[in-house]
Order: sequence, then C-alpha cells, then structure tokens
Amino acid sequence: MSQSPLVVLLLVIFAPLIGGVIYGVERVVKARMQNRVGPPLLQPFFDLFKLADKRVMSIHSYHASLGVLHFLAAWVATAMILYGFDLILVIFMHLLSTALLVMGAYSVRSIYSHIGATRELIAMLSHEPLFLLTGVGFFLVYGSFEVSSFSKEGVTPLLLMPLLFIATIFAILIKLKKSPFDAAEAHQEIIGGAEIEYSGIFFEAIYTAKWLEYVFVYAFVFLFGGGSLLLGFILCLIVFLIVNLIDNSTARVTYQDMTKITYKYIMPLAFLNILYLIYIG
Amino acid sequence: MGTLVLLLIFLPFILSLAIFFSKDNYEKPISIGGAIFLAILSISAWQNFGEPIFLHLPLDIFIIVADFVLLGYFLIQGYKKDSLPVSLLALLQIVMFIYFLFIAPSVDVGDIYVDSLSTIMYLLINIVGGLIVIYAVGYIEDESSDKKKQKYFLSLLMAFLGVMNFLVSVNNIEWFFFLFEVTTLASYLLIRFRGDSISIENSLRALWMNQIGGVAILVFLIGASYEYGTIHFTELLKLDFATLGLLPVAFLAIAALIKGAMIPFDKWLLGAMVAPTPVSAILHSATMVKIAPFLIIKLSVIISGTYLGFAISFIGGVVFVLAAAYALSKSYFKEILAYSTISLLGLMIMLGAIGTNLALSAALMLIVFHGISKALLFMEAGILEKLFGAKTIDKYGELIQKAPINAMLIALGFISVTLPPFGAFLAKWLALESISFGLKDSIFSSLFLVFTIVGSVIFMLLYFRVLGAILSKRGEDVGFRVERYKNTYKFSTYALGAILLFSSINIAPLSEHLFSQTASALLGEEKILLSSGLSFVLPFTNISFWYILLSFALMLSPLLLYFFHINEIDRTKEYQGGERMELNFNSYFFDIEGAIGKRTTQAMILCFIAVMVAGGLS
Repeated sequence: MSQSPLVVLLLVIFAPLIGGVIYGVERVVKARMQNRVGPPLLQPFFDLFKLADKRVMSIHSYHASLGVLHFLAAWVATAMILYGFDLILVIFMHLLSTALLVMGAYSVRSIYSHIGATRELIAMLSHEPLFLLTGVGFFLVYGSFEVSSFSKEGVTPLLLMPLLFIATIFAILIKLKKSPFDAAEAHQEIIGGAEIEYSGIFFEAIYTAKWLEYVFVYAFVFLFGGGSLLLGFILCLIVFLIVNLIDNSTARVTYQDMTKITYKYIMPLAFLNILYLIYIG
Repeated sequence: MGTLVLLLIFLPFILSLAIFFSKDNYEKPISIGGAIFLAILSISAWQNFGEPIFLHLPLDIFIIVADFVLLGYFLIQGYKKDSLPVSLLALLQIVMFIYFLFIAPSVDVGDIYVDSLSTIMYLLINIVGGLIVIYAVGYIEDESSDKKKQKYFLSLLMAFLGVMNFLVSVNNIEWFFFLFEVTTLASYLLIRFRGDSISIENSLRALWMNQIGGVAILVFLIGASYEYGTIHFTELLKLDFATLGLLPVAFLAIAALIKGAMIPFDKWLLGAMVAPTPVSAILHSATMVKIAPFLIIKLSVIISGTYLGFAISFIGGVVFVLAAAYALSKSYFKEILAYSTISLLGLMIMLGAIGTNLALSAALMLIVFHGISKALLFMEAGILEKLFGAKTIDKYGELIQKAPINAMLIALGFISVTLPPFGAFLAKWLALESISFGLKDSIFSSLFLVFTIVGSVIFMLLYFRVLGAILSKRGEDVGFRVERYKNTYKFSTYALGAILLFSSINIAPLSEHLFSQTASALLGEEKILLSSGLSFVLPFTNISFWYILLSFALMLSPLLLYFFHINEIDRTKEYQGGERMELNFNSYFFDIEGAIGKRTTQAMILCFIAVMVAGGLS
C-alpha cells in the first residue's frame, strides 16, 4: 500500500487517539449487544484524564519505566506497519512490545502479576505463529515482505487466503485478550494479570498501549483488502463485529485449551492455506 | 596464507606443550598471550584470504598410527571403566579402520583445503575459543590447587584449539575421521576432569555416543572407497550422485547429527554441560558442536534438494522445536543453555541441509553469533556458580541486585540470541524469509517454515521467562553491590559483550562480507544478501539502518533503565489479595519433556533410520 507520506505521518502520530476511538466504539457496540446503553463514545478519553489526575504511585521505577517502554514499542510496531516495513520484522517488534510488558510484570513480587505474565507468554505462543504464517501468506501473494509493496493489480489477498483470514481473527482474539481467550488478564481470577501493579499515570501507558494494539491489528486486517481502501475498511468492520460478537457470547477457556485450540485446529488451517498458495503460485 | 594456516593449525600444539612443561607461573602468560596471538592470526587469515588453497602435508603415516593409538586408548578406557559400549565400539572401529586401510583409494589431492568457510570457522574457534582459554586461566586456579593439574587443563584447552583449526581445514575425510575422534577424546578428557562419579559417568556416555559417530564416518569411508573412489571433500563435489547414490554420504551426515547432539543423542551434550567444569561446557557449546553444522554445510551442495537433504532438515527442524520445548521444563541454568544450544544446532543443521544461498548465510550467521552468545552465557553461569553457588534459575531471582554487572551481561547474552538487531535474531529472521522464498520450489519447505516459526516463538518464551527472573527487583531503593571478581573473567566476558554490541550495529556489512560471501562461494553463485551502508538489501525486502538503530536502542534500554530512578513519587507495595503475609511465588515450569519425552525419543530414532533410507533412495 502506498499513501502519501503526510497521511502516514499523521496516522502514526494520532494512532493512540484513533485506537482510543476504536475502543470507545467497541464499548458502545458491546453494550448494545447486551441491550445496555453503554458509556459515551469518548469514555476511554474521560478515563484517560481521570487516570492522569490520580495520585502517582509505583512499585519501583523499573517496573514503571518498562510499562512506558511497552507503550513505546507498541507505537513503533504500529508506525512500522503503517510505514510499510518488512512484515516479519513488524510482527517481531510487536512481539517485543508484549515481551516488555511481561518483563515488567516479572520485575515485581506480585503473584497475580507473575501468573499473568506467564499466561501472556503462553498467549504469545498461540497467536504469534498465526501472525507469522499470515505474514508468509502475504509474501506468497505479493512476492515481497515489505508492506509498502503489498499491492498488485487484480489481486485480493482475502480471496487467496480465506483460511489465514480466519486464523488472523483468532490471533486477534488472543492478542486483544477477548473472551474466550482472555485467560491472560482474567479479571475475576487473576485481577488483570500483568497489568495489576500499574496505577495512575503509569497505567495510562499500558492503557494506551492497548489502544495501539487495536490500530495495529486492524491495520493488519486492512492488508487483506489488498490495494482497495473500501474493501479494507469493510473487512476491518466485519472483523470488529465478529470479534465483539465472540467476546460477548463465549465463556473463557483455560490457557491450556487455548494453546490446544490454536495448535490443533487453527494452525493446520493456516498451514493448508499456505499449501494452497504454494500450489497456485 | 599457507603459512598462516599452518601456524593456526600447529602453533596451538606447540603452545600446549609449552604450557604443560612450563616452570613456575609461566603457564599464565603463555596461555593468555598465545590465545590473543591466535585470535589475531585468525583475523589476518580472514583478511588475507583470496582464493581457496590446497596444501600437502606428509602426515599420512602419522595419522594412521595416531588413529590406532587413539582407538586403542578408547578400548583400554572402556575396559578399565567397565563400560561395554565404549570398548565394543572401539573394537568395531579398529576392525573397520583396518579394513578401510586395505581398500583406501589413493588420490593425489591436497589433504588440506582452506576455503572461506574455514576462515569463518577460524574466527569463531580462535576468537571465542581464545577468550575461553583466557577465562580458563582464572577459572582453573579456583578449581584445583594442584599446579600440575592446572597446567594439564590449560594445555588440553590449547591443544583443542589446534584440533579444531585442523578439523575445519582438512580435505581428506580419513584425516577428518581422526580429528573427529580427537574431539571425542577431548570431550571425554574435559568432562571427566574433576574425576567425581557424575563426571566419569557423563564422560563415558559422551565417549560411546560420539564413537557411534566415528563408526558412521568409517561406514562412509568404506562405502566411499567402493562407490566413489575418493574420500576428499573437494573430489566428492565433482561426482555425479544421481547415478552413484548417496548412501555413504548419509552416514557422514549421521556422524554430524550425533556430534550436534540431535535428539535422541542429546544426552551426551547435556552431560557435558551439566558436568561441574563450566569451561568444558563453554567449549562444547561454543565451538565443538559446531562441527555438526559445519559438516552439513560442507555437504550441502551434495545433499540439498535430495530426499537425504530433506530427512536431515526434518530432523534439524524437529529438534529445533523439541529441544526448545524441553528447555522450558528445566530449571537448572546450564541445562536450559544446553537444550537451547541443541535446539539452535537443529536450526543450523536444517538450514545447512536446505542449502540455498540465503539459508546457508543464515546458518553461518547462527554458527558465529550463537557461539559468541552462548560462550558469554556459559561463562556467566560459571562466574555465578563461583560467586554465589547459584545453579538454578529460581536462585537467579533479583540477581541484578547482587551482581549488577554479571546480570547485565547475562541479559545481554539472552537478548542477543532472541532480539533484533543482534545477529542470532536476524539469522532466524533470514531463515524464515529464505524458507518462504524457497517455498515455491519445494513444497516440503512449508514444514520447515512451521518449525522455524514455532521454534522461534518458543525461544522468546524461554528467554523472557529467565530474563524476567534475573531482572526482577525487590523495591525502589535496593542497594547495589558491584561484585568483585577476577580480571581474566572480566576480560573475556567484556570482550564478548563488546563484540556482540559492535556486530549488532554493523550487522549488515558483516553479513554481506562474511556470511553471504561465504555462502555464495560455496555454491558458486552471486551474492543475494547485500548491504548498503548499514542497511540490508534483499531481493524481496530491505532493512533500513533506522530499524537497526531504533531496535538497538529499544533492546538495550530495558537494561539501562534498571538503574534509572523517578524521584518524588510515592511507592507502594504489591497487591497481595488482602493477605498480610508476603507471598512468594513463581511459575517457571512447564513439564514438556516429562509429557512427551519417551515417545519423541522413539520417533527420533525412526527419523535417524529414515536418514539412512533416504540416503539409499537418493
């Protein structure tokens, strides 16, 4: 995809805000699905200001700064995908941002934080191969790993990689910690997991990093539309609705089951699609 | 160039003798000076390298005699230590070797052949190995008070460097067999150095397992004498294997797989690592086991694209995933390192057997950078054992408070294996992309793709788990006590750290001029991986300098931030779920080996048989 540099720059700069709006919409949509009115659209931003007002507390500076670094790495990963870097490197950068969150969680002596971090790593084990396989799928379609060269006349990746599209939806569910794959934060059970020890302004970093995740994953979905803006947006919308529908209608599975589901069913699906791409190529 | 090669091969032996017979405390300056000199020699060999050269050495008779002496020694050891497999295998080898001598073909080709692959190995062996020798000078003082024993140990290490230098420059596979057996001997002697019962047991296991490798090479030698009429690497490349068949080559490859400790032969390397002497652990992981990918890379032109190549890649790929998963179920630090070594060896072997230009570049990159990182990590493991007696990772918790410098170096070691822009990471990335690049040529590659992806992610999981433990912190105002330890330790670990940092920034030009160059020379092709300035240029992608710089900053900041304090904010305690007592908890354990270990061992034995069958078929 090639847009003008200015547009990309603006997108990168405002990525957290865009993510915030997506989150706001999500909360409204979710509420409507449950027959609630739901919060106002800009509720995430109100929360943001409220968090900034809170008394600043931290366990120790290292923990706090790793949270900030997690946010920065997430931003870099988002910028990289928008600027059209090598997709595999983008995915690894994204993985790194998760790893920084995990390091932060391990750096304190909190049991919930530790369990959360371990589960976060296991979640990574489940979703990251799916993202990577999808990345290879794009390579097979376009003959290049660079996102900036992902456009070819008359080629719609969605039609060539439908199974990888399904795999991506699963990867997104796991990545965004949506039910049924939300064991990593599992509020009722481990009270937020890796994020629990962050508060106030430092939690803000974690909170906005989550918004960046939204931009990241939907930018990823956007790639399935090929060069077409319209199709890209429609796909994002569809995935958005599917993700929220699943989130609303399923119960949490254990992290063991999560790995089993991804490795037994989703990975083979993705693999079949890769074989198909090789075959037709 | 010829002189340089001869110096690299024979100087270590002379130094070794000098150390052994030195008076008073002279062994230290000789070892340190010699190690540095060898490192410089290896660099100049690399710089002066132009075209591959052949050398003739009149050592044939010597090698045959030495072979018999060596095998006789194994036989005696097996008898003395009451180990049936050792003596039986030694006997079998003697018989086979005699048989081989009767049918050995005589071809007048140089017995020494130095190509750019050898020069890369020289760099690894002499720089990393040399630093290990320097480390050992300090280490052996703590280990044993007996001066004789100290000198013996150092001279053993020095001679080992010579053997390795020799091994990577031979062309005659009969000589290769001898040197292979000498490295086996070196493992045996180094592992049992301490002489307690565990060491002896591990050393005997290493001995018989590696002797199976020796038998496999002898099968090759006999088979090659009949089928190919030549036993020189360079001559083999000229043959037409479509008509001759690859069965003998399959056995040579099996020898490599055993040296590379592919499951089910993993236990010998594990024994070497867990044996009390850390130095032997370092030598094994950083240099000796690299014989395996080295040999596969040498054969890659012959085997790539055949059933045999596929079978070997398959074993490599499976081991990459399995050993990484096994490492997850270990808590003993050196065991974790051992399994991650085996795992990465699997990846190197897989890439070597795939044998495309980029795959070979990635394999070479891994050989070198894995060697550097693992040497650093094992040295640190040794230092920590010496300083705190800490061996398991739950003891490594909050290590950074007790030993900030060492914790930083360990963290650097881990980061350099997993994260951009370090060589090992970029090698994995290159592996993934080069396999994708070759997907359309062979549908089998899709399997290797999955192995690479899953293995890399397990690696992340593995290392961040350990890293998290090491870098944890009790509270804001913890005091640091900068640990005091020996200068030789400091020198060797700092040097490795500096090499890692330097090469990560310059990774693109290094990759082009060292790895891509060599891979292309082996295949006789144009270079595919290029660099411009500090950026990578590949046909299907680029990595800009900005990415390298940015990721460098992002990777290192978690380490430096540790010492950064935000003042004037309130501190709080962790949430303990309302309990008043402090809970201490960690969950680092996944019992994967326990769950699947038995079945996978059986499956891997089948894979080894498949290698032979594949060799027969292709």
